[in-house]
Amino acid sequence: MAEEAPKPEELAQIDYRPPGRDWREPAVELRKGTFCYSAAPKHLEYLGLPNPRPWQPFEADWKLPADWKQTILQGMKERLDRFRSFRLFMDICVRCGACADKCHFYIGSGDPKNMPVLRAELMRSVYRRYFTAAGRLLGPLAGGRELTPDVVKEWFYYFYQCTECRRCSVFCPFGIDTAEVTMMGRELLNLVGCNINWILEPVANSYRTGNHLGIQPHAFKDSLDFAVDELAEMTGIRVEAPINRKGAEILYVIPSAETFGTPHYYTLLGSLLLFHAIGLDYTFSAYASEGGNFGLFTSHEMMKRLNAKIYAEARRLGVKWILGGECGHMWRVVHQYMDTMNGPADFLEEPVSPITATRFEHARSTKMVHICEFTADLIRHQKLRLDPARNDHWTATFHDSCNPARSMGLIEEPRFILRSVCSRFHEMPENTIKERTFCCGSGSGLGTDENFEMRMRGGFPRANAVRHVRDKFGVNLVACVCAIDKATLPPLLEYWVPGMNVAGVHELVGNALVVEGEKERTTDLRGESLKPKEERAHE
Amino acid sequence: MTGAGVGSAPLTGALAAGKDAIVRAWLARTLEAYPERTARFLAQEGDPFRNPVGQTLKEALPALFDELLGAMDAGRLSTLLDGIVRIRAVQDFTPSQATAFVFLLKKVIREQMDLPPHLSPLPLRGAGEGEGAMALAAVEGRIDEMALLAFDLFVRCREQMYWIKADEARRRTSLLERMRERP
Repeated sequence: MAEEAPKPEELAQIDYRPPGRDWREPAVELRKGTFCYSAAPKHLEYLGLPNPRPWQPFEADWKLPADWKQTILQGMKERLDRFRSFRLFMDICVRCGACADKCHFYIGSGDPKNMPVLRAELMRSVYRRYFTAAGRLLGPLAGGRELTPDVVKEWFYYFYQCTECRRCSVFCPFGIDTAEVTMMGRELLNLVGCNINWILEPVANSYRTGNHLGIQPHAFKDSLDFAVDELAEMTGIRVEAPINRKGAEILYVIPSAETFGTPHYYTLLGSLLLFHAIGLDYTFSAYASEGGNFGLFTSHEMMKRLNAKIYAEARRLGVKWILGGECGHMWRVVHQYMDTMNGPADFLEEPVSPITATRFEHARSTKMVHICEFTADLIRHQKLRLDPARNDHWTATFHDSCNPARSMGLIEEPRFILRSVCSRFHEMPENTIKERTFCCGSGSGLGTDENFEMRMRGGFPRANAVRHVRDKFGVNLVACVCAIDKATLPPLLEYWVPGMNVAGVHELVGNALVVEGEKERTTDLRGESLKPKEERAHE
Repeated sequence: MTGAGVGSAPLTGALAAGKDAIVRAWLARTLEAYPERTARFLAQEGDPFRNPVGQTLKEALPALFDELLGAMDAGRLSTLLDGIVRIRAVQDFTPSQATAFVFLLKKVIREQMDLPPHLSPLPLRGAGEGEGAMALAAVEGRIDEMALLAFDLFVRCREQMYWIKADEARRRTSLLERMRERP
């Protein structure tokens, strides 16, 4: 041993630099904390997905089916033929680099394969090798890569790391939607059974019982009854929370987390109070009890399958149109896929606000309106009595959730609402909000706990901007309109910006809303004491 | 920490005079832990919101260097080191890689001061190089203190992640528990 000990001069030569690696080398180190665990076989079996078996990404043998290579290449061919966008995205990138430093995972991790251009290249290189003449003939010289088991592992690692937030696509001069490359990557991985539990369990539950946790109708009713009781205690008003009521004018679809998770639940309280205040003729559905659609993160067929239940319930209940709650990726599905997957919903009517008579022309085709559009319209027409002082314990900022901001252009409505219900509101820096918003780092089905480190990396750019407004303006609350944000921003901010709170926009609406017949509010919707009204008035 | 300044040896003066070059070299060496393309981005992108990792390093390293030559204030050191270590605790680094940037300063100082990399920092009784070696030993001792603090902070960040995960699990069920308790 002694003669092997390094001499001082040798010790001084230790090189801290990592060895340089060629990006075409696919081997990845799957270190716990950076990836999600595999889907349990029972969920694959329930959904009829291929290759159900027990396996884990950290094991050497992923138990791929014997014909895995042929299956993936055949799947790729079918999708190239079927989706013009996919073929275009494989062909037209000129590697200008505009997207390279726009990804929150690249910014937070420094891993070059998180540059969107390079992440897509992981698939493009295989496309070139097998689907272009130059690649077939020249292989690596034409930018082609062999499809090997290591490439499958690499795809799994990076395509289940991208949160499909589409920030990079905002900067692409060709409009390449890199999220769709990730979506295709995940579809192909699903063909050989490489998928994650945090996506497929909610998918199986949604398919079976209608929501992510598999909450059955009686339990769904219990949750709403509980909310009604708590609201009665806080406000003195007993609201209605109708379920499966045929003939209602509007079907209200929420992310199911509002019925069991915090802080989501306070958003539910706010919206229940709002609907009572304006006398809205609406109903929940115990079957379309989930706005979220993790099918979007699985395959286009799965997305269609889960989305169909919303239209099916709208038809069964005989409503005129659909109002959607504070859900994130639901709006990507609604605005960009629903109409062509399950539409046109011509059995529904073009949405018209029963309170203001505003016609929501942009929803003429999908028949589905965002609750922020609905509420902003109510405030614009002065249909609500609001006391913003009831939110004076908050100094708020707004985190644009990726999908509402980038997929449906919901930019101004939530801000208009927040400025109406809060006295103190401050924006984060311009290049971190609106269509350039930074993702929470946990979207697209990656908000679980086994990949916590990766979530902290991806969420750092967002948290960094929150820290800025905390230091500059004393912001203590991040408002948002996405259930995944509400679940994953609290732990993210606890790590990077301790003491920060997270709330839904309609929680703050509910706080400020003055409802006829209510008792004097002594608490906010969280049950936390408010200062007496006279003191608030003198501030 | 140590409290007073590191002394008035010629080395300290030379270090203070060479601050810009030393800090620049320290940043460059620290960034070498990242792939080349990333290191370039982290060094060059000046917008703190597009490049929070690079910005954190660019702000903290000069301030840490000032502390090294100055008061070694424990509170300020903790804040500065935490900014860097908190990031590296969630990146693809082992604990030693995550805290290695502190030790790199020794290397950089010796390079910038034209000292041999393997010069024994221990003052040899009666040896002519005693005073200079003593001053270097004092500086490197302070760097060791910083490294120990960085390691404490690294472990604290890792522990914090486990607490946060536990809290996250509790938050998921807190409302269900309230519902269950309701008569």
